[in-house]
Amino acid sequence: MSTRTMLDRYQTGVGYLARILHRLSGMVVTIYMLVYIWELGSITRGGVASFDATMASYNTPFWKITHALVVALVVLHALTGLRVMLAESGIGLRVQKATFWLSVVITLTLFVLLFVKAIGTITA
Amino acid sequence: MQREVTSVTSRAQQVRVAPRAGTWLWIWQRLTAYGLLLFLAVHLYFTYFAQLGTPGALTFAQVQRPFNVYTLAYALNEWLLLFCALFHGLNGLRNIIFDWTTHQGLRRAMTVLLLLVGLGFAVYGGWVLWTLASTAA
Repeated sequence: MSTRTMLDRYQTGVGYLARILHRLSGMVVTIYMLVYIWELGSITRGGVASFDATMASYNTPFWKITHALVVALVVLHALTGLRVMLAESGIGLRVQKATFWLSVVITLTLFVLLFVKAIGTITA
Repeated sequence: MQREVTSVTSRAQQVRVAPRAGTWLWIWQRLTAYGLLLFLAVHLYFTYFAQLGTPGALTFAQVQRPFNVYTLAYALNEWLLLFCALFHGLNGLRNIIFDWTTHQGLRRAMTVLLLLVGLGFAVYGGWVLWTLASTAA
């Protein structure tokens, strides 16, 4: 197998997709966390009224769906991360493709459930 | 620390097994990952899943309720979550940057930048948590 073919196979493999999704979800959640800490900080900047006003500004369909997405991404990151740590211990290497797709299915199922629930609690 | 390896090589040899600086970051990335599994699960339960059925915006009273009920345990959970999340997230970004560039100056600059961001948010987040915990009933 030539180097080019090996690279092509590597970049289209399930393990590669798992790695990319693990990193992307990690980056998104990290940036979200920094904004989250800053927004929670409205309690120190303007007291309870400022905190409640900040939270009220997130009571929109867009943010409810975004929160459902972020929670789903946290779960995806945790599951793919567990898969990495198990692989480092030599566990589950033979089923690494199955465990990745299982992680994706669990994440998507959770997202759909949270999405439906979030839509249900949106007040006009 | 040196250890003699005989199992995987044809000739016995000495290998360095003492952790280097990078090894400690790798170990802490794993430790904080295990920490996040617990602390983030508790945090998400109280601030997200328990509020899912409640219409309207999240309020200060709702966010503070677990502080009122389990003051010390919940505050400890939140402080450990802050540490684990900041370390794991920012060290993860550092790992990505180190995979992306081998330029020593850029690597060092980004490490310092991420360290400053981490310290800044740790202090600010700690202050926010103190405000929430200290006003608990």
